[in-house]
Amino acid sequence: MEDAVGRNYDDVLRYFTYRVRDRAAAEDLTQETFYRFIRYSSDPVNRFRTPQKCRAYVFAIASNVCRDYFAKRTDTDEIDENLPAEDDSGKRDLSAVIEDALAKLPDAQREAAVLYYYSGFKVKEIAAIQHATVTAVKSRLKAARDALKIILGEEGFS
Amino acid sequence: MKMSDRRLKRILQENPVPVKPEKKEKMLEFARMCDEQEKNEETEDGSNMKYMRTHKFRTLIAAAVILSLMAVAVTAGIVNYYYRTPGGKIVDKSGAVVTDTGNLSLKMTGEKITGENYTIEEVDWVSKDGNTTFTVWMSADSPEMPGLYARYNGIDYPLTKSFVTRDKDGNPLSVGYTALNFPEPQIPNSENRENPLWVACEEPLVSVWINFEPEGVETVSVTAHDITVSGYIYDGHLYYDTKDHTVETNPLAEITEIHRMYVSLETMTDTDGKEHELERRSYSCGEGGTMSSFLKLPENVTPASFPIRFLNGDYYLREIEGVTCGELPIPEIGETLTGEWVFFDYAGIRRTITEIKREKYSITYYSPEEDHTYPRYLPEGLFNDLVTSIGYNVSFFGLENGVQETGVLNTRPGGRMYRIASRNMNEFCEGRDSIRVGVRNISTSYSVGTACEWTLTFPEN
Repeated sequence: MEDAVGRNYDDVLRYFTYRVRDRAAAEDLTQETFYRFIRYSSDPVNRFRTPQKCRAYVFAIASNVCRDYFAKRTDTDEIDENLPAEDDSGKRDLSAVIEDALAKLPDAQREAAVLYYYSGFKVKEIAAIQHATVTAVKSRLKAARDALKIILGEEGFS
Repeated sequence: MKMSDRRLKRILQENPVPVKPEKKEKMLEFARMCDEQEKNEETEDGSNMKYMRTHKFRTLIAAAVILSLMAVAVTAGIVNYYYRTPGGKIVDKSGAVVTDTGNLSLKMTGEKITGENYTIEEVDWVSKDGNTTFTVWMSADSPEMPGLYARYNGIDYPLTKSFVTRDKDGNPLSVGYTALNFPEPQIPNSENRENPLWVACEEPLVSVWINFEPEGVETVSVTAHDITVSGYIYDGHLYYDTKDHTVETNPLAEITEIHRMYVSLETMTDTDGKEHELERRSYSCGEGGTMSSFLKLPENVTPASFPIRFLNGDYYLREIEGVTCGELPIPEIGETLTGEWVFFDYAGIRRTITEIKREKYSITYYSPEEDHTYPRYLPEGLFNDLVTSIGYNVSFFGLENGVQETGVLNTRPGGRMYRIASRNMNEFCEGRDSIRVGVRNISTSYSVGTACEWTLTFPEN
């Protein structure tokens, strides 16, 4: 379990950062995800044969946790709009632009894009995580790609 | 120059949002502790005891609680469901006997579950391979705990352990529960429609979410747990059809075969997270398991998600093929009205009716687009006492000659009007003072017996 946490923690945190855009909430949700994962993994039923299967399972929990979060979020909850500051390399600038661009996508598309580009999942795995069909995920990814190209193009990246 | 997919991928992957995992070490420490504990238990007690010992974390893993609340389970997307026959056997949906019952039951109230001597802290669900299973986390040390109930709509149903599957080492793989004294599937009628069985899905445990892209997207994908349907938004309405857009492995296919799926779409959440009550809700269920629904979205709101509930039997059709009762005039017997009445059919396609003709025992609607006479309806008021549900075969028995005809019951609020799919009722009823109507469950073909037969006497004129 320690290995699974160490291997996936940063990526899960990034996943939540993109999805909820609230650093503090993202860390809390990450904690919640691994808390559930550890509890569930203590059952012999849920031993994973491969790290990739374990990873898919962690993200499936994360997706559920996120869904619960959105369902419970009230109007008064504030979104952390503080984007990362620039650093010397200027790289963070682009990461902020990308974060902004992703935030403009519908949630399902954003989740699919984050899982695909940042978490390294295949379409089939994303479909399982999102409880959607492969076709639906492909459609979401295509829509996300098209939208991101336009948004990033407008920001001067072509 | 247009950006290529490859370049987009590179830009995205080379510039991830920086994260500062401030609590990672804490979680690692917790995981390490759990690893250690587990290791010790293996040493002291052997692998068979590991399962029982996990309660030290205040979490017993009662794995894969497959709730047996049959209709509830089906409609919630749980493929595996079990119920008790009058003889006391637990059978699965195909009718095969699963196992004898044990003594375990659960007390469940949506997400929070409490028992008499312990607490079930959380219910989580996981969908795998088309199955949705519920996992219950308890502060107990064994699934062999008595005194558990499923609570639905404030009523407790005792649950009994129906089966346990184990791996080769004897560790429990899954535990299935079924409700004690849970009623056999019944046709909801005027007498039993208050039966909580039919509204059990209103509990949070089985409410599900659908999400779809905003208006303007040609095709939307609607996902509810492991159920996915597609549709589109047109003129402020979301249209979707559960039959034509499902994949083969989708459990929805099973659900639609049962012909008892109801959807409740009462509120929606916009992209700002604000909840709106839907202005209009409608549902319809056609032959072959097609279920269509459209609803009016609030203006100036971008939908993000709907809580969707599948109900069994306690929800009424408010429309037939998109036309509400009140919107269509009902001519006098023998009268034919002409005009133009617009509606949307099951597929969400705009249709018009230009002629409404009422005969003694039927009303006929004519649609010029299809050069099609829409299904015959029995006159309003004829079947006031008829069951208030949809999705069941209705058998009509002519009293005089035993003629039987079958159609799909498709009632309006109060059961005042319904559609006979395959028969000209005017023809059928002509010359008779009364007919008998029986109801048959489409999914099982079980006759519901005399309790669900009515003798309908026609009005004088």
